[in-house]
Amino acid sequence: MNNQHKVKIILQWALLVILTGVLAVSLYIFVGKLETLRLHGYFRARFRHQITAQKITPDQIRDWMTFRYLNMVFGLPPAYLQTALNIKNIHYPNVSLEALAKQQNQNSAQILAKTVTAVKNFASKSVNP
Amino acid sequence: MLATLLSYVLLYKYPAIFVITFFGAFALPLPSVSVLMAGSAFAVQGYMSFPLVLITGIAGNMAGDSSGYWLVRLYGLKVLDKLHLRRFFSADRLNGARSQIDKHPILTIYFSRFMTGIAPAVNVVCGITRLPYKRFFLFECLGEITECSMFCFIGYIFGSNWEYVSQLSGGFWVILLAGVLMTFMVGRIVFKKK
Repeated sequence: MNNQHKVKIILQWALLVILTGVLAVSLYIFVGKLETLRLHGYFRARFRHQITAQKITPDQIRDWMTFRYLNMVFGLPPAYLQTALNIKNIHYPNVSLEALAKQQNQNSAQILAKTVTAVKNFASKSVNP
Repeated sequence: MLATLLSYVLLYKYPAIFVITFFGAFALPLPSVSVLMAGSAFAVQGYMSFPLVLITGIAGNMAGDSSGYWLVRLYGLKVLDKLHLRRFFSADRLNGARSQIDKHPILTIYFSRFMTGIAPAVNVVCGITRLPYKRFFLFECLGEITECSMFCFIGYIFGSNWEYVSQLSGGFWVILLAGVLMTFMVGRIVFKKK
């Protein structure tokens, strides 16, 4: 066996050891994430809401969402959120909650909370007019 | 970063998806897979059109891959010359690398499409070794169609729950690729010995 062949075999074993390490670490992280999701009750919720996966709930509203999108997915009248949140931005509804918060020098969490409340109010009014 | 990109997707729809997937495939570390899943979820909710999200995603990825390939193929060696790094890329080494890619196009070009961090590097290697464009395009095209279809369908099936699935997908592909490579290496070592 010449030196070149020896080096090749050592390199192959080294690569195999590295790959085993990568696989073990990835599996550890993957299983950890699965466990976190399980502990948060995601899997139970997933099966419960399987049929309604196309709909989002007010609690799933995020600050990157635009008002046009929220109006569409929650079936809100176009001016409802504008009135409820007293929005004077000329780009409404083509503006995200986060962008609006920046423009109004407010915390995006505040705008988010107000939006969630407004959407919940609309939903409860629709159920009990 | 994902939140900002999703705002752009909601504002500008398909052009935003094209630009994000283009730069994601070209070189920038953008979460284009998550954007595709989210775009498909928006399509389920009726905000966008699913076929258009899928086609735009495939087109953006393919355009980004091809741009990376051609940029490096046309100017790669010239830039290396200017940086005085050409000596590390001798004709023999480049030919050797090209023949390895040519021998295993599925393992190198096709599977790399599923790993957004690796794909641009493979495009660079294919471009600098001057792998025939038709061969690169064939496997890149098949890889992108498979990748985009798969992630778009995941987004479509999971709908508004795409965020949870997105957290797991990255790790899943690392496990799959490491598993495939490990099997390949074990087979190579064991069968060579016999």
